[in-house]
Amino acid sequence: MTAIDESVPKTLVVAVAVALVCSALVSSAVYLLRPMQAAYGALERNRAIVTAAGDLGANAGDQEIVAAFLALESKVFDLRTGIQSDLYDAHTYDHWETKADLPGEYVPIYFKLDKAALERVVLPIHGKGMWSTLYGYLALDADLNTVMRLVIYQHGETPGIGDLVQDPQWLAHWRGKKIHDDNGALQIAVTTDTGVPNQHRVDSITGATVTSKAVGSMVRHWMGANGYALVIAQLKRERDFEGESQ
Amino acid sequence: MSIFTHFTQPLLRENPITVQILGLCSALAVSRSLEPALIMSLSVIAVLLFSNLSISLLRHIMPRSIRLILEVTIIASAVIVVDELIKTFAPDVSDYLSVFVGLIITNCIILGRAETFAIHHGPLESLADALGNGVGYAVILIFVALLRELLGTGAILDLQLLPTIDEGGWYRPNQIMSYASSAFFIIGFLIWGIRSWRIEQLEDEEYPTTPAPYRESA
Repeated sequence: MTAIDESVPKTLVVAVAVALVCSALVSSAVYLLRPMQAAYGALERNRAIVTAAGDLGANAGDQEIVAAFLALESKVFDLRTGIQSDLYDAHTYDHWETKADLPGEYVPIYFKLDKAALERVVLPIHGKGMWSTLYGYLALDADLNTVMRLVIYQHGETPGIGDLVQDPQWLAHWRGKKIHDDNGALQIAVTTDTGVPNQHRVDSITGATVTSKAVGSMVRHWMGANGYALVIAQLKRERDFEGESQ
Repeated sequence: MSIFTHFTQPLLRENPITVQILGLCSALAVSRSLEPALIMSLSVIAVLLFSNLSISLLRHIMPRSIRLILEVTIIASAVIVVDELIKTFAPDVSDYLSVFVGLIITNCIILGRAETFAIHHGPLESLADALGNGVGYAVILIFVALLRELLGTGAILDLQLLPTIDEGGWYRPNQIMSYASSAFFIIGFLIWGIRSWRIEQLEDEEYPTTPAPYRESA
């Protein structure tokens, strides 16, 4: 074996050359593959929305998911006013990816209709978990107060621990919980405190307390005044108005 | 040694898992079912081939002082590319494998082969060695995954071989097979079995065994 040149300039040159080649390799791979991954990301988002809106079979194919997603009625609302907006196409608009250049907070909301009557509303929610931002969809019944389903769509919590918030068994506990009590006070909570009435309480997960409680505060935030309060009030007005006119 | 023996040697005689006891962490974690095990095996083989080849090609110009840093850079780049490929073409498996693809960087088999083999041998021999070690790893991983998936769910891939009780059959799935500890037992029995058959693989005792003291006083 020939002796290797160990001089400082040679060492630097080799180090820089290897670093450059490797970084070119990695960045071109990422550059070429990202568009394809984005397509899959959009499909996963559609799957989460459709799952929240109803009972999608576990083995539903990609086309079924997209078809079910397009069958949902969807509208973009401005959170600050609670009024519907036509600025974006609600089926393609992703408020988590798009940085809105217009004033207002525009959020796509999905409606499952049964012969023109509202059956379920799917609201996108996100919030801070233990390490990462949690993204999910909350489906409400036509009374706009009963949780029908919660889907956690994306998170970066500890694998094997924090990701218990995606456990279907835990998420099933949310079904039927009431967000507000009869006086309109925000009551839903993730807690172990048995003082909270059962119809508002979801138990936190042993071993994933921080993340599961974060899901609770996320739901409370979005159901409160800084979240969908105005939109929900508007939807209730529309619903009551249509109810009277029929 | 011929190129062919560089390939066959690591399959059984010098197997990275059962003889060198390397790469166990991922072998325990991703062997619950066959599909992720297959993808993990392919990833490790791809990374090994790439790293052994490039390190062998660079072996005469890599200054010894920064040798390890360069090797890890090359391995890490290969792992990132493989990870992105899996995320694109097998996103479901990517969710399941989660951190374990990234952890291929620290898989001792890869740095081990780079340091002990590729840095001293030409590109062809290094490729053969990489393929042999990769396949040696894959064989064990796939064997463990087959056993765990079959006993844990009664099915292999989507083929229900043993009808389970839940679906009106007779087989009660063995729950322990879905935990990593079962892979530990299976690999343990495997090593025992191989070493009973191939006695030359037995290791010498590192310390002489002394009889327990209470026996002397009795």
